[in-house]
Amino acid sequence: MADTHVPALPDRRLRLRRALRHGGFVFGAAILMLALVVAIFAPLLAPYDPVAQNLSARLIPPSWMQGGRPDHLLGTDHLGRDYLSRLIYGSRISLIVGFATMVISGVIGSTLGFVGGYFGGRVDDVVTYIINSRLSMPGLLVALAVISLVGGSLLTIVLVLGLLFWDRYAVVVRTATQQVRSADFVAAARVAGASAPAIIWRQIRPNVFHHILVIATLEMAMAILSEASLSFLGLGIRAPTPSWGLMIAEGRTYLFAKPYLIWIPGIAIFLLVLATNLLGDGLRDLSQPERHT
Amino acid sequence: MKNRLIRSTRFLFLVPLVLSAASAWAGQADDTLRVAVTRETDFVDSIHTSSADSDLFGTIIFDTLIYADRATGEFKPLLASSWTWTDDKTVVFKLREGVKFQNGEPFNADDVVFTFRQLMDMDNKFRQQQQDFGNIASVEKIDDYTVKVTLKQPEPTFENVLASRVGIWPNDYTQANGHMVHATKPVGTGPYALKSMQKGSAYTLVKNSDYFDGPRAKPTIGTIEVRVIPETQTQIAELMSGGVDMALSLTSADATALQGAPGVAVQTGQATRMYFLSMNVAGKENNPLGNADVRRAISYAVNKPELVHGLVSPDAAVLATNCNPSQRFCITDVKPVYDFDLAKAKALMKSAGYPDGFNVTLMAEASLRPIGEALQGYLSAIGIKVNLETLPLPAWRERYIKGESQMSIVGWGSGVSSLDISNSLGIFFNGSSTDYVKDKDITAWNATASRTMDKSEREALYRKTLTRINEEAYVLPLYGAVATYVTSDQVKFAVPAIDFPDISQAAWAK
Amino acid sequence: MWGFIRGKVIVSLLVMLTVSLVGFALLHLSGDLAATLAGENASAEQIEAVRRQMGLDQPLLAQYAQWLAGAFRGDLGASFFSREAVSSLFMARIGTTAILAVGALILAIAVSLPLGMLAALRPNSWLDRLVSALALAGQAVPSFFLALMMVSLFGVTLRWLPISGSTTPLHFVMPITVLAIGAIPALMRMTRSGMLEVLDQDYIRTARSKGVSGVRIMVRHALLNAILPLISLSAVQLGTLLGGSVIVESVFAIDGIGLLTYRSIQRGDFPVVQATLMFVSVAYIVLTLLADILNAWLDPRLQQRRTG
Repeated sequence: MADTHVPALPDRRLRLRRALRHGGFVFGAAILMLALVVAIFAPLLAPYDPVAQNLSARLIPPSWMQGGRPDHLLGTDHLGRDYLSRLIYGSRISLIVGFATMVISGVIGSTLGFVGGYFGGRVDDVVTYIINSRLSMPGLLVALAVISLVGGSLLTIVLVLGLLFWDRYAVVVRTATQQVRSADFVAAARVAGASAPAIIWRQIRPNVFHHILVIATLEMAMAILSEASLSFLGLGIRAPTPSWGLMIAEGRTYLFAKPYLIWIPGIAIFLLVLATNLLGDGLRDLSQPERHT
Repeated sequence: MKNRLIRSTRFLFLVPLVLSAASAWAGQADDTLRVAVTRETDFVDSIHTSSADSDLFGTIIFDTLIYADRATGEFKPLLASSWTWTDDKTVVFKLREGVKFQNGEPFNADDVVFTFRQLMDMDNKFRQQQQDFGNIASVEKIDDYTVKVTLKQPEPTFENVLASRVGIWPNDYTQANGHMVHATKPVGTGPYALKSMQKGSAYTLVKNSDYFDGPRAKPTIGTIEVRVIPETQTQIAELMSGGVDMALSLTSADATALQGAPGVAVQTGQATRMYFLSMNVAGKENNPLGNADVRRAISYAVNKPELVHGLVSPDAAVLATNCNPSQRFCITDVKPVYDFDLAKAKALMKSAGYPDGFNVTLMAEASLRPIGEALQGYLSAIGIKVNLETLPLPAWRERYIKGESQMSIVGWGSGVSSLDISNSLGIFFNGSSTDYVKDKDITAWNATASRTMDKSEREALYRKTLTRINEEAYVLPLYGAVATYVTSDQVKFAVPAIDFPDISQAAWAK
Repeated sequence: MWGFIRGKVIVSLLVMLTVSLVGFALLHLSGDLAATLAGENASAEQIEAVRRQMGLDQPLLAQYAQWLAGAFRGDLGASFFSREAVSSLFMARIGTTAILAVGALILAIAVSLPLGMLAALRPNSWLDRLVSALALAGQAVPSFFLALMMVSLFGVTLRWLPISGSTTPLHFVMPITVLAIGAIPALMRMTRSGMLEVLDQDYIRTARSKGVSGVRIMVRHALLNAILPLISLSAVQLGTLLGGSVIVESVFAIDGIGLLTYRSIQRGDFPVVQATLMFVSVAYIVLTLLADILNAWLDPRLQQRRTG
């Protein structure tokens, strides 16, 4: 592989070095990688079954607090389930929600953006109109209403969030496509007789991809937060699969008596969202000089 | 134009934060009892709704003919001075004299007759009107202080209905303004009158100083202010900081947070609401729940005392039969009973032909999630893999009514209207779409019992029903709800025997 | 100018229609309203009766047409439960929510404008980094978490602020702050990047090289230009704030549009939910329209670009 791309190598190495110097990017990527590893290897890492309950060991505080026990590092919840194990397994749900929503909304939004930006004219009018219609709908309210009627499962939540929050992709990709559309290499491809989908895929997509990536991180963060908010309002993903949002929702009853029950998943969500945003910021910073050249 | 813009942006920096003095904090100082409830009330008149929170208002603004004594649950004459059943279908009320409505209108037989005529007019579309009042045949004024009510069929629970939701309206005022006037400007004879309300958020009630001496004590606190605070944690915060004196819709789990909080007292009392595990017995082929041994296995597999005392409240009643012991005719000495016995449960699963268990979906209203999770845990021990589905209440109810439930945790009843066992057996064993058992004998016994005035006959019928339910393990009775009353220690409030609080009976401790 | 406005208005009206149709269809397709309405003890026949009575047995398009006709007459229907007219439910609460949303927007702008400008004046300085770190952190805290923590700290532990209700101005301090914190990051980034772009332009560089002080340049030139996109974004944010008020109003027990909607959603009170969706949409559309017109008026170049 290195052989065929010799000229690209120094550039890549340079980019990598710049990336490694970008503190936020490194921090964000590290946390996200950690979450990913934890999610993938959850069965190996979790000391207990996350749904196994033990009503005689309810509400044990974390081990460093008074009354804590070394066999339950982060304590137990109201059903005596090991909190650390739930946190570890919960990373799966939160990441799946974030990632799946990001992909669904990304596909919808980018497609609209490409089409509107590339074709312009009437087509663009229609796309703009669709975007405007979506933007003028209060996303969280619609999600709440639909999920309360259908009931919350991982699938419905991902679908509802994915089908609702594609607007940012559409707006950004559309603008970016408009800018690239008139570039020489696009005109050249058009003259060479390439079809519109081919041009969008081969010429335009690679040139706006960094925009999509940046939005993708923002969307992922937004989806994770939305799931938490829905859980808080009692419309999140149902048991037994723990999600971090659900852990907060369940622990909320003990907000004043056992505050750690909501602090622990709260901090986990905060870190994951922060990491995702930092990654996005880093990507933006790193891609900026390229745009100018 | 540009100047204008600059000038206007300057204002952005001067954030106008007008701070006024902090609101007066709760209590005795201004003789105002501040009460927090969770849900808003659509009508302050309980004839339109059945929610506990709206009964709160109806109870203290209006008087009923019959009062359910909060200390004992006993029925006592309130606006009626006495009542007599002259036969199985006829009851004669003698009315209290010298009582005045809050607008000065005198109370007499015309008011009672008027109110009952409204109840009988099915066009009024009161809540559950047909079920509760459809059996009234006629109402008749005998003299100014005597009224005769005739029923179409004997109805042993008629008094419950009267005591729970029939507040008497003043006939002149109501006739002039239509009965809906009581939804916004209610006038009753009760111990408190509604002074003002911001519907859905705040209600102010003032003491009726002319309230008569009767079975319910005269009110002592000058003003009651009820506020809707949807988030329970906010209610707890308000209690801890002294912003409210009383919270009536907290669960006992919520109240654990308040244990040891200075100045706050937590009391628990019995409620008539009960919870059971409903199973789709009558379901079609390939339904393991149609097998009695499977249901018995499930009954043996659940450690009810651990579940109930651990998750609901140490004070909650563990149910042996499918009724709440606080209900009349709830018989608890029925055989067989299912005490936790995992070995027996496993053996039954094996003999029923399910040694490896099966998959089942358990539906529950969202707030019952912990109970559902616990059941999930118990049943996994005998190989039953439970897919727990928690839904908002309306969504759950919709699917349950449609007959779509395989297993559900069902909560049923509240207040005076569930004081009798017929209420909770009713819709779950009557052959309708909410009857997942479809046992024809039980349906017949229940129907007879609900039209039988003789107490020992009724008891015999309910004993048969409850025995059959346990023999066949048609449902798994779980627990009786606990009502939690949280007050500041400035307030004296005796825990009622039933979960139908009368806050006019609250008083300052000193 | 007028042609530009007319075009915008027509498109806005079309968007409103679409939103109302989509909202209507979503809500009607996803649940059986009649079962909800008929209540806890209803039999199948009673549910059927309610369905007929409410017109829920009609085809969806017919129901929509009926709703639309009503909406044009200003009749948005009545709550299924309290039987009150939706419009009066709204009028009673709109003021409270407006105070929340506008208050939060003002607070957010008041914080993000100066911070964003400072960050832009010294890009990559410690100040710039601190500001963007704050923005990132603010973005990562779930608003309900923040709200509960504030209640716990300022309401219970310190007892500085009243916790719930909306009777005095003090009651609005916590809710407005929570909402504003949600809106600040986006506004701050916008100000910073807009400002950076402007500062990079020739006339500003010239002014700076002539020794005009940074702050003065900011206010005289850069601010004016950077504020244009901010107006649009504020309009967007105001819509988001109205939506976000669901959580804040629920935690702080403020009886506004958000809480009304949440309660109506919980029990399937469809006319109210539909009206709220419409209300937020219309508010958003009107605000963006105003922002567009204002922008076009302040910067005639835009008219050329957008109409042409």
